[in-house]
Amino acid sequence: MRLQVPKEQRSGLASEPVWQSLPIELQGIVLAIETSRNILELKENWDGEGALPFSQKVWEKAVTFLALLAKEALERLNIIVDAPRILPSAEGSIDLHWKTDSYELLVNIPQNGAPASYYGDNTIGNMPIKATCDASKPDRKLISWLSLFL
Amino acid sequence: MAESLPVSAWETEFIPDPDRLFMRVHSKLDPKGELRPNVFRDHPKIQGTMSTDWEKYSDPEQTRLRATSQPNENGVLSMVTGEVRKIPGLLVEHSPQPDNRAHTDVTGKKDPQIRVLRNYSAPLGECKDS
Repeated sequence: MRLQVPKEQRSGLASEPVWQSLPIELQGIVLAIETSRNILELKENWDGEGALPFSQKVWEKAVTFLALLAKEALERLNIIVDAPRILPSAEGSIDLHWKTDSYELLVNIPQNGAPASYYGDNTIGNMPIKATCDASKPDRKLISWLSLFL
Repeated sequence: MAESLPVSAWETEFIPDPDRLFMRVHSKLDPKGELRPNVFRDHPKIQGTMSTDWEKYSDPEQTRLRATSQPNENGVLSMVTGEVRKIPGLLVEHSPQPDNRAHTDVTGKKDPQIRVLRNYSAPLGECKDS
């Protein structure tokens, strides 16, 4: 079963983005993505301190990264990735943040063409993971690390 | 002739490790009101520098009211100077401004690792309704 997105939300897109066709098991991820659309409503100087607005491009890059990660984890390892908080961050970048009873993970998706960067660890602090990655592909190293907690 | 920057009349001082730093946190950084790593970010206009206020010359309310606009949409968190200094690559430097003697810079890269290792902070209050 697939979650369907209204046609009007798909107009103008050459092909359906991966985050619009995730399986029902990943409904939590879909909800997090839909909730995060409010980031796109933040205009220049939204914090009163001169913060940059967020481009549609960086938002799509962030949610595509998340969708690919969750889809790959489900298909390859049959694990369901927790839904992160998708948050506005510095310099027009977007953060994906997971904090659970067993691990914490932060992924930053920059607005420019720079690679995504992430850092995670368990709650004891002895299973760190740190890397940069191409946000347009599922990061298998990160999925393997996440699988230790899911 | 180039325009000169305003020079602070206040002397720069050393901030002792036990002293607290206050920092504004805008409510839109997390509408659920949780303290997340995205609050640790450089000032949008000053790369590499996170703006805080030293408790010697400020209290949390004064820090909140220093928001150039929308002070009611800001909360304030505190950080212990010595705990910030323990984070690799971060420096705490008093940098008084003409209108803010408390102003203090936290310099250094705020990458995901640094922002996750942020257990040096605590929220001090909720945002206030307008």
